[in-house]
Amino acid sequence: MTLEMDQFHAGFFEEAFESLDAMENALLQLDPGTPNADAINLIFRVAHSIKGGSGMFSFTEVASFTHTLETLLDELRAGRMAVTRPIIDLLLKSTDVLRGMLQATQRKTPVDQQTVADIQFDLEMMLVKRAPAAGPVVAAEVAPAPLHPKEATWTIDFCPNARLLAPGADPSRVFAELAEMGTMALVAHADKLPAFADLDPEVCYLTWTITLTTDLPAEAIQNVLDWAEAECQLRSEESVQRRPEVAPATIVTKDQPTDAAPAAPGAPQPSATPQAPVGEVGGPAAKASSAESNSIRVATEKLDELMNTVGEIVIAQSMLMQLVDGTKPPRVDRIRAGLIQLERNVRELQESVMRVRMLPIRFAFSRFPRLVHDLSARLNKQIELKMTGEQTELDKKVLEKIGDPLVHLVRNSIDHGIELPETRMAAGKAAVGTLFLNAYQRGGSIVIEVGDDGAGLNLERILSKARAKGLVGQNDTLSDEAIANLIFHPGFSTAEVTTELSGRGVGMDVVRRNIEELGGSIELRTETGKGSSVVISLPLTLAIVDGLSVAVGGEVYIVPLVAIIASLQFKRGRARRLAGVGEVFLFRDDYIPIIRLHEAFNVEPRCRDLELGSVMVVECDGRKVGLFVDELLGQQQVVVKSMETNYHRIEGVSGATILGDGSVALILDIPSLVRYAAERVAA
Amino acid sequence: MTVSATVRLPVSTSLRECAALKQQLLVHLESPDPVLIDLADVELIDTAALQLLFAFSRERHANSLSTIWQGDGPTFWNAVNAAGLQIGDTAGTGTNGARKYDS
Repeated sequence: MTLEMDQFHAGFFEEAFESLDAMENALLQLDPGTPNADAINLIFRVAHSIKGGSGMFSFTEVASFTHTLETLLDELRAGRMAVTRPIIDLLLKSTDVLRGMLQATQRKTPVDQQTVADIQFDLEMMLVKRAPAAGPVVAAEVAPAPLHPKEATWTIDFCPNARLLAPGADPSRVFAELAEMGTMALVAHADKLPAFADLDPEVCYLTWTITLTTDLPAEAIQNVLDWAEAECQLRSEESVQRRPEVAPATIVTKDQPTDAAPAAPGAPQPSATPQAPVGEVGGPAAKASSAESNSIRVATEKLDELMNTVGEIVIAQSMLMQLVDGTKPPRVDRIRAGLIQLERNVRELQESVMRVRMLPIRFAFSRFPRLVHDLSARLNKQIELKMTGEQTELDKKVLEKIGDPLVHLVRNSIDHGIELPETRMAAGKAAVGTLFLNAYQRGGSIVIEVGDDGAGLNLERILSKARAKGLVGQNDTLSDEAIANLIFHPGFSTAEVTTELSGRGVGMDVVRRNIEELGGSIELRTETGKGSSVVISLPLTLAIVDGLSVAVGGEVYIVPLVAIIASLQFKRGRARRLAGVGEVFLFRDDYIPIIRLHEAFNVEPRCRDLELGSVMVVECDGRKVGLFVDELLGQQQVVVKSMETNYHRIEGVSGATILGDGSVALILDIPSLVRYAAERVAA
Repeated sequence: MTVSATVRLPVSTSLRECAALKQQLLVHLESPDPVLIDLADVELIDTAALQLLFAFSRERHANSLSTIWQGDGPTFWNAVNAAGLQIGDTAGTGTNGARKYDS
């Protein structure tokens, strides 16, 4: 396969997946009582365009499936079938199947034939069982109607590509749509039809001449023909007499009567008053218009490269600034002024590039309407999903990694949080529970809340289970917050019933680890009988970090500012050594373990006395640790370079950066160091 | 009248069924007696199937052989109309249950 074809395929798949998401959302908005025409049209268009694209690329299985799907959607769109709950559910299943087919096609893996066949059969049966149509969809010969002053008559030679039928496409539905736009006559031509024995059923040998009188604009006709344009050679003309002069692939109005119109009895007569041509459709003007767009698709790798280059510029600028510090006046002042201007420009450039990487969180939220719909139906619960702040933006990499943890939290809320309707009513609550997802920016962080108005955590049961598992001593007393946080312990679950959704005790610890790996934090709030919420705080981006540089021996480390609570200089005797814990010191009524960074990273320090160096108190998940270093150097924003990409993962280090003097500094992984301290105590 | 064969179209007569249908029709293409196409079950038919049936009846007609369209098949005739095809002697305007002869 050529590179170009690969690129076309990639574009098709990307658009198809996005379209399927839109289709799923529209399906979830459909109300059987009051069908929404816009939503149905959107759903139809998605199926229509996926069928067209898959047909064009010869993804025949996808095209065949979407053909059946489209047929059903066409019935809904035309009002020949009612929108019912079973149909919505079947269409949702169809989007799943279609997504699976596209993924399999994209990965060049086998399609799940059985599932596809099952759903396709259900679709066909739904069509067969439908209420009979009120009358024929299209009549080949329609009595002429009086022409509206704005009406125009169009002649379209519909000459399909020979492979049009192969993907399961059906031109008759295009004819039906055109017929609904006005008065139409069509004649089929069979002059290319071979001898029956030689006929390939997948090849379309037929061509058609269509005459359409309508007051709708040319764009409306073109919209109907659009899908066929991808697969057909369309030709239309102003009039039969002028056929040789007309360029192919255009539609023009016929403004004068002609006696050479397609010989269909009852074909409409053209307007007595000449109409000005409305212009070419699908010609350069229309194409230019459709090409206008406010956005372009850019491969993530290109953005990463751009971001990397900007990072290098930042480093180079920083190097220059350090060099200037050693230069003497008077020229140094002018150089410094220039460098300050450069620094400002580089910072703006860096922020602009970072903004390019930001995506609205609705990309992560978009899966939840479907998830809530499916799970609430399966668990016989009534749940209303409220989402706010969907436009809040965060870095693409963060967005990609936050999806699974959010799914887990939402599932937990549905499965364990929100009660059954009868239970809720017995507790004086509304039968319909509320699940809310909220996102907003707070300073340099993005906050995501996942919550519900369900039963809340049963703290007594959590404590009892923790005691039974030996996680908490029988006589230990814990605050409500500490009890609630026990659910983040690996393998901890109080669910009475292990369901396929949750309750296996696998997950909340993974959720927390995932959040921490993103440099974020997670907080749990619960009130018995009123509900729970999980508040996740994430950095805006993973590409740069605000940090405090510290020296240990000849090395410089960067401590992310977000984790730092305080920086201290010890007086003699403040630290103690406790058996089984190691060095600790008293900080705000708590004894906090001390990690000597030179020991953790096996570096020769400049000082070993706690009184001579500095201790930074850092926090992660409510656990605090004091990091002992030789010296605090200063605060700066650094560009993060991945360890995994450039070297390999190192415990206690989340990345690296290049300093102004060209040296490399490691960025500390605070969650990992806090765990290290906890493990040291446990050992 | 003697009928050489009856070909019963399935409920869904579409591209997926066309290969098998073609083989079935091919056997009777040159049958001297009328071939009866039973439309009674047809609930869904697409252009690919219509083209195949049209080609079959046209070729038989060209060889002065008869094809009979039988059954209450409004779906079929609506589809024939919608595709602008001429099948049978009355171009798909038949009434329910009417037999149509194209020779």
